[in-house]
Amino acid sequence: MAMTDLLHADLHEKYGTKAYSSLTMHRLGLWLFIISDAFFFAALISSRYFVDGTSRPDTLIQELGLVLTAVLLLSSLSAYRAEVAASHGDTEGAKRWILLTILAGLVFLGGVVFEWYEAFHDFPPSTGFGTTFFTLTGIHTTHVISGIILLAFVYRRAARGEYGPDHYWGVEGAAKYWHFVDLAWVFIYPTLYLVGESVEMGAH
Amino acid sequence: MAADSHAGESQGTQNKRGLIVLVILAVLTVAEFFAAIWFEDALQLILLGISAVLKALAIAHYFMHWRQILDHIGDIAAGDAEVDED
Repeated sequence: MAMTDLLHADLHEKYGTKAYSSLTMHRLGLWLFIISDAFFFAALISSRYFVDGTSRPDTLIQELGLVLTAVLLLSSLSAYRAEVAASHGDTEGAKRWILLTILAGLVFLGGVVFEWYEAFHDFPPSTGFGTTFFTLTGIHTTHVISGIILLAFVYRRAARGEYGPDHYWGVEGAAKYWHFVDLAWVFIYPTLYLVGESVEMGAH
Repeated sequence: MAADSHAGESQGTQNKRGLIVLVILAVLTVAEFFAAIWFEDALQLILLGISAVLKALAIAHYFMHWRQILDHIGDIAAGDAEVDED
């Protein structure tokens, strides 16, 4: 008997606890992580208003923010379709949509790199807005990168035929995480690009 | 037992729903872009806040199936949750 089985049996005998299905535990664990991460993002987003009020530099490219948002929303649809395909045993479809999600993530990263290149000249991290801008986009970008890595792992497992209509947690978990990355951006985008009025802000 | 959010519906129906949600998200995104241009101060903040919350709810409900986890918690509390047999 494996150590974990022994532990479960022991706990069940002593305290009447149950070993719930791994899917239930996976989902609960992921949601706990998502909720804790959401608090982290909420703290960072609120810091933007404390540090710099609602002003934003006039050099900020609002249209780029809109395009980045559109790319992330599209990637959320492809992640959703990957999950739907996997749940119906359509492995080829799941692989195709996972790949598209990864590509959309890479396009998003490219946009952020371009934005950072411009931002370093216009409002460097030493400025009030720059501090919150680089912190928020930086933390979000690390989530995008980890999401892409996760999706790449899931793609590899899907290519090996490890998922089926009754066991596709890998795809579901990766898709849920990706949706969370999108959800966080839904609040970051207006916070950085839309709220308040633009003011002239030279590099300090 | 917590219902599987993908059970009992065809792939086409679910894909169509995903597309509708994307269109709603796109409309809200464009609306908030123009709300930021047309409105100022408190009204702008309120409109952007409402739009962001609506978008977040759509993503959490239709893409992330947040109700699924409430079902799981309810099942565990009621003692109806799936239990590993082995």
